[in-house]
Amino acid sequence: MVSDVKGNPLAGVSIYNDEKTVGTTTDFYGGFRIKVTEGTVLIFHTMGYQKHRQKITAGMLKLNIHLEEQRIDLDGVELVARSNINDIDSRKATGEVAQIDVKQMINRPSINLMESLQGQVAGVSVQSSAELGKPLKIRIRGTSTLSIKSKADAKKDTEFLDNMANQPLFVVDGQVVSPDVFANLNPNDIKEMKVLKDAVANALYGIKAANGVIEVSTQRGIDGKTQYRFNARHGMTLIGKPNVAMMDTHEKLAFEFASKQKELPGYRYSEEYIRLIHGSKPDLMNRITEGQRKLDSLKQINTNWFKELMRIDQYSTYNISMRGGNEKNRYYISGNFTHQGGKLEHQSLKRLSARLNYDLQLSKKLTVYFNSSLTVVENNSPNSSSFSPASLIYRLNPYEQPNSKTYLVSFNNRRKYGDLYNQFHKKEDKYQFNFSTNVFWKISNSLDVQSAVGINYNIDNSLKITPRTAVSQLKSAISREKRGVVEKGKNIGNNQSLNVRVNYHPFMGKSQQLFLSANVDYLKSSGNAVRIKGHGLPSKLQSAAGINNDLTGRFDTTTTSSNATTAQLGFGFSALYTLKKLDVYGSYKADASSMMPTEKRWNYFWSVGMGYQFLANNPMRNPWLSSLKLRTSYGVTASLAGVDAALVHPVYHYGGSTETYLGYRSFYLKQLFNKDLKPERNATINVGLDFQFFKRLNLSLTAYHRRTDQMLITVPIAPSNGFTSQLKNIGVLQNQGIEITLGGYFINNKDFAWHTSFNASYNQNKIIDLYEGEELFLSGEEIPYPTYKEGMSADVVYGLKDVGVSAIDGMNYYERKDGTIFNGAAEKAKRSDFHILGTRTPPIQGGWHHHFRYRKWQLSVQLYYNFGGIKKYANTTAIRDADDAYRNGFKGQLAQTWLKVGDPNKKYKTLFGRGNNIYQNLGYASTSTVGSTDFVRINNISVSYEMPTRMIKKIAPFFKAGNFMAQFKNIATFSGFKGGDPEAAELIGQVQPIITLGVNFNF
Amino acid sequence: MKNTLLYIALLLLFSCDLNIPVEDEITGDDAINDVPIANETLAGIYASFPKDKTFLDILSDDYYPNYDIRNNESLKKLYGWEILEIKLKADNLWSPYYQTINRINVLQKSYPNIEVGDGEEQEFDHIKAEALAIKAHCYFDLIRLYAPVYNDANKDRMGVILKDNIRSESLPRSSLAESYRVLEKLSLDAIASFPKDTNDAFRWNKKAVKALLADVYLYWGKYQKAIDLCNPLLVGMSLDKATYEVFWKDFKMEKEVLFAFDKDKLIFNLKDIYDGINGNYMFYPNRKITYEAADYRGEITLVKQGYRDAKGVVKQVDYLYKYRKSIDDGKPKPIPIIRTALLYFIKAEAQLKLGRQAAARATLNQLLTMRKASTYTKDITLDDVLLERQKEFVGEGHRFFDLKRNQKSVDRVGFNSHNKIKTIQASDFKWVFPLPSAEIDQNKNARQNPRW
Repeated sequence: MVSDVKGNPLAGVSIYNDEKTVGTTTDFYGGFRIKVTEGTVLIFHTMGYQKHRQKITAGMLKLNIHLEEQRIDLDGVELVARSNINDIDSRKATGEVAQIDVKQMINRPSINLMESLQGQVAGVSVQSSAELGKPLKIRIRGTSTLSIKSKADAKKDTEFLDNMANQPLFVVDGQVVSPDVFANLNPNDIKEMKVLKDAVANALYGIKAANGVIEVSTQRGIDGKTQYRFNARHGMTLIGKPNVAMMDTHEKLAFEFASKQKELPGYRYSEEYIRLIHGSKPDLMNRITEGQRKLDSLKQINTNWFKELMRIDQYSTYNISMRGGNEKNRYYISGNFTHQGGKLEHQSLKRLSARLNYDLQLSKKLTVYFNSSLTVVENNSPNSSSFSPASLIYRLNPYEQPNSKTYLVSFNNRRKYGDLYNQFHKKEDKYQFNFSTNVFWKISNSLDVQSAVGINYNIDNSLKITPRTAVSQLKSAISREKRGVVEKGKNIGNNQSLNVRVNYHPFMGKSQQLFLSANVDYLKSSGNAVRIKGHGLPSKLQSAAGINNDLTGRFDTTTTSSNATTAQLGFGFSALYTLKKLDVYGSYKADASSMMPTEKRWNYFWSVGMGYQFLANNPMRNPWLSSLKLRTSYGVTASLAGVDAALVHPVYHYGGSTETYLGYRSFYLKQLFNKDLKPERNATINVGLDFQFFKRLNLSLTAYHRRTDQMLITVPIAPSNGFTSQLKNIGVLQNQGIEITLGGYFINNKDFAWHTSFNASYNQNKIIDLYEGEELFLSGEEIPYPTYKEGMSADVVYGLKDVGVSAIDGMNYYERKDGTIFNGAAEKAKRSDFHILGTRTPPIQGGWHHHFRYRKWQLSVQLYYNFGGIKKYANTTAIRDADDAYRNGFKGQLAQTWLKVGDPNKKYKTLFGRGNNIYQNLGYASTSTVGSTDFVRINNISVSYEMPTRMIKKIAPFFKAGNFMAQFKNIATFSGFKGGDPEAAELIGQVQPIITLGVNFNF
Repeated sequence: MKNTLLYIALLLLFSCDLNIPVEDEITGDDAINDVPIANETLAGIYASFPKDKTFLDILSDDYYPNYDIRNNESLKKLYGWEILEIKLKADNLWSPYYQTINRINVLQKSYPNIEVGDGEEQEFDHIKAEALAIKAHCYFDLIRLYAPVYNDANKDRMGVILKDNIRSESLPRSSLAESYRVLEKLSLDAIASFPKDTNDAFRWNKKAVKALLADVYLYWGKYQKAIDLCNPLLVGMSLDKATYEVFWKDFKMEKEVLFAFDKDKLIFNLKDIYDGINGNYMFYPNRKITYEAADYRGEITLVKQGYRDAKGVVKQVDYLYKYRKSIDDGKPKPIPIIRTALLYFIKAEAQLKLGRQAAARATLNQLLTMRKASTYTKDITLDDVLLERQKEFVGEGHRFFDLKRNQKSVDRVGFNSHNKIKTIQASDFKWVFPLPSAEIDQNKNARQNPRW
């Protein structure tokens, strides 16, 4: 078993004898097995750690090796070559850098790497929408700014813009990549992943890194015998359970009867209705019997639309990798195929990726690293921005059937089930190519130069098809030749980066050290997009070639094109001075962005940090506390995340084809620019304490405070200015929180080991100041409460205090702040009637992971939890009115609906009461429509069994090791939330459990 | 080796440039710097001007609701002058007017940067004059929609926001009198700036702006000035069946039209009165609008078509046929703003208001004769002028303003039997539309119209 000095197991450590005739590497739990003769000297070596030599003596069956992290020794012997140019040792001394346990991520069956980050590190929150292929929301230490958005944007766009403004920077082997490239990385290729959280850590990256950085280093070749690793996992994706249970046929028919709507079978065939209409006719009794017969036959049907529309699919992943080399040449090659099926038909995500990393040691002083990877992703989805087949689960009636040829009751506009199917199809292909070269050149023992040059080339193709038979196309206003819509898009993204760094470490005697580092970095990214949209799709052709180009007016074929390039240039300096137990760090960075006008282009950042080691492995003085270190830092960074040039200075563009006059294209100002705009300024204070107990239990406590000044947001302006919104610096936001990480071995012996790691974070944000007044309204006139208010959290939920449905008139009543109540149908809720119900983002988030080993068995359990947030129930399907009773409602709604005078304690108002205000009031959040989103989820359970040597030899004599494994992802969630899955709190899209079985061979 | 690396590093550093032009956008304060770009900027101004104001005709008595309106809640409410529907329409109209004004301001501020090439002087002068004319047109519409009728009692009440700068401001509303003064100045400047008379009726031209100003004077109560402007334009004018049909059937701009918006790519085809999903008309012209057999306007304006009423009985009614070549013709058509006939009505109304009965009747009869309609032989009243005006312009967005200007009430009828269901009084506050709440919320100096 090989671990670092803290007891964390080290994977991928090369182990070989002096002559390099025998060798192996450690597995993910640091374990290894090697057959050597007595007296052999084994060498343990991995990058970033000092070489360890161990002589094998007789009877030495179990080895526990602790490798020490490689630092620049006081004698100045060796500088560390790293594949990530910015991963310099000096920032670690005082900054907040968290290491991620990569093996947990590999074990989790998920096609999206970002999703696997959930619950791994304190302060990193990942929110999944549970919809396959949709971007996730990732934040480090909360939301640093409000999203730059405008009111008119669709939800998808605001999410995109919010992500642009708040997501961290992703860096793979020193090269900046897009979040999408990160999400599609093959987890097996990752050697190391780090999260940079505070100003000291981020300052090296400058303006790009205001929201934190996630750094990835990929696997590299080894100096030793070639190793192969193969693993295959195959399993199935389950449907989980519906977000809300719906009425069964019995309840639905009774509900329809209560609604008294003659179009609905529950009332139409009832005795009451038949008597009302045909009361005087001679065949009345026959009609009643006939009605009863029809009702009885409907009651025979009870379709579970969730089971009908959701399906079980497959999850599979295959990975093969090879690494080897000698002292001068080292290589790592891998290939991976992963497929994850969705819950809906025609929904899937496939990924094929390949990587080749090659290290060339030209001389003792010069090493070159080449990294290249190619990833192909294919994503299919039947969900359009306005329609998902999953929405049918919460609409279709239980007495309706998939194959019936009659009109559906649940769609009051004459639709058959067949009409609803095949409404939309989207296919996206992504090709991501990455190449980078890192040169490490040691000029002398105290001076080295590194350079990293890389290119990242992404091609995204998308094809969206609304077939000619879709409901949206079947209107008389759309004549036959115009039906069907195709949208084809191509986007080529291109990132070029260059980074040159000089490190200087002069020899200054035994007790003090100085590290100086300076760098220049340049990043140029461009996006080149073309889109074609046209109408009139022939039934046989499902591609852009089917567009009918003869159509005119609003069925015209439209093309759009955009090509935006931005560049950033930065100069950075950093210094670490160490005197015995004291570390003092400082950094300075000047960054310029092409987005800003020349005179405002340069931004300056600085940070200072201090670390002090109180105890260091002195068992004499303190038997239980092995080490204690204090880290403090303060730094200032700036951010322009999400800002584009048109918001800052006058940018004109040409209008689309609908904006021409007499054949002239229209040319106009794109946005009302704001020449006074300043970048956001972040000031962060970080205080951390690292404890180590009993040499095997690590505790890290961190507190931080971040103040964002000159916060940028798009605010509405008076329309008489010719535009309705403008980007402005509007105020000050503060984030503060604490993070706890605890990890280590409780038990670790030959037969049994128990390792646990726990992390928790608490983050709270607050608006400190708004420059123009105390409140900011962004939601328009209909919403009487402010979007943001000084002294309040940025994501506070306002709502009414619901006192329930009155037994007398069946209407919702609400309580005012003074304790009086008002009728929701008669009165509009006023500003003062809104109470603060809580905050949307859960302030407490974290994970808890256990790993057990018993002989050849290993078990790992990962929990993910959120506490303290509230969300509004996704209750769009609650039936408020008799008019809406044609569709299906929540299970149990009938019993909770007010039906007659005197019905006490009901939850839903009368089906017949109207009034101008009730729907508006019901649309607001209220004490009865929000719930706590607290949850604990079993994120993943993984079991593996190491095959006995005999068994392996039987399978194939050249295999060295192998194991069987099984994984269970998202198999249980514990939550009291009643409006869907507590994480996304939406009706469409819920957690998808996955179960897989697999094998793993090393040879 | 050392040197090679150094050279590579230096080379890479020099290629780091931060002045990156944006390929499909044009950046900078001097982006509009020649006449062709000024022309494209002007196209953007014409394109953003709000053209479809069919809803004003629905609010007036140009139309009767059809039986098909029963399922269309919002049109039913709009027809009934319900506050929320008017508010919605008023909200949606305000922004495009100011968007247009902003684009004019952007163009006007660019004049010093524009390099005028040889032979482009006239074109540039025409662009300048057109920009002034469109600005005048914007303010005229805004005054008529969002401000009260002009009279001595109202002249200090709130008019419109006069906007000249390209930056975010909180401007107060100018007084009604001030708004009219600015409007007059803009029109006069435009008339003075036009290099010469042109006959391109799809662009603002000297004659059309004169007619616009005459109309402004009519609203402003300066009747003699209105008459004086109309007279020279009407000299030698002759309209007949041929000129009328050339416009309404072939949409060719000849004598009939002084200014019209060219057909938009977006459908303007009276979509508010036509239900594109079910292919039914929601409204048809007021049944009191009829034409004599000889009056050639009848066959262009109205077309008979059957519809099923509540009891399933097919009834023949006259639908609006303007802007169409067949009953379900959905092709975009030009939108006439100033027709020559308007001059006769401006003149007649002004003359009548000055008490010149005989002159007014002569002016009105002049047009009616050209339209082959019977003429008035006895004294005419204001209502006669307004009725004739409605017959000429039904469905063209005039009637609402005619009623408002003359402070007339308007009746609402049911969709089944056309019984009067209510009357919107001339004193009703809803004649003066509300400013959008976004304006009131975001502009601390803007005040809302009374009772909204």
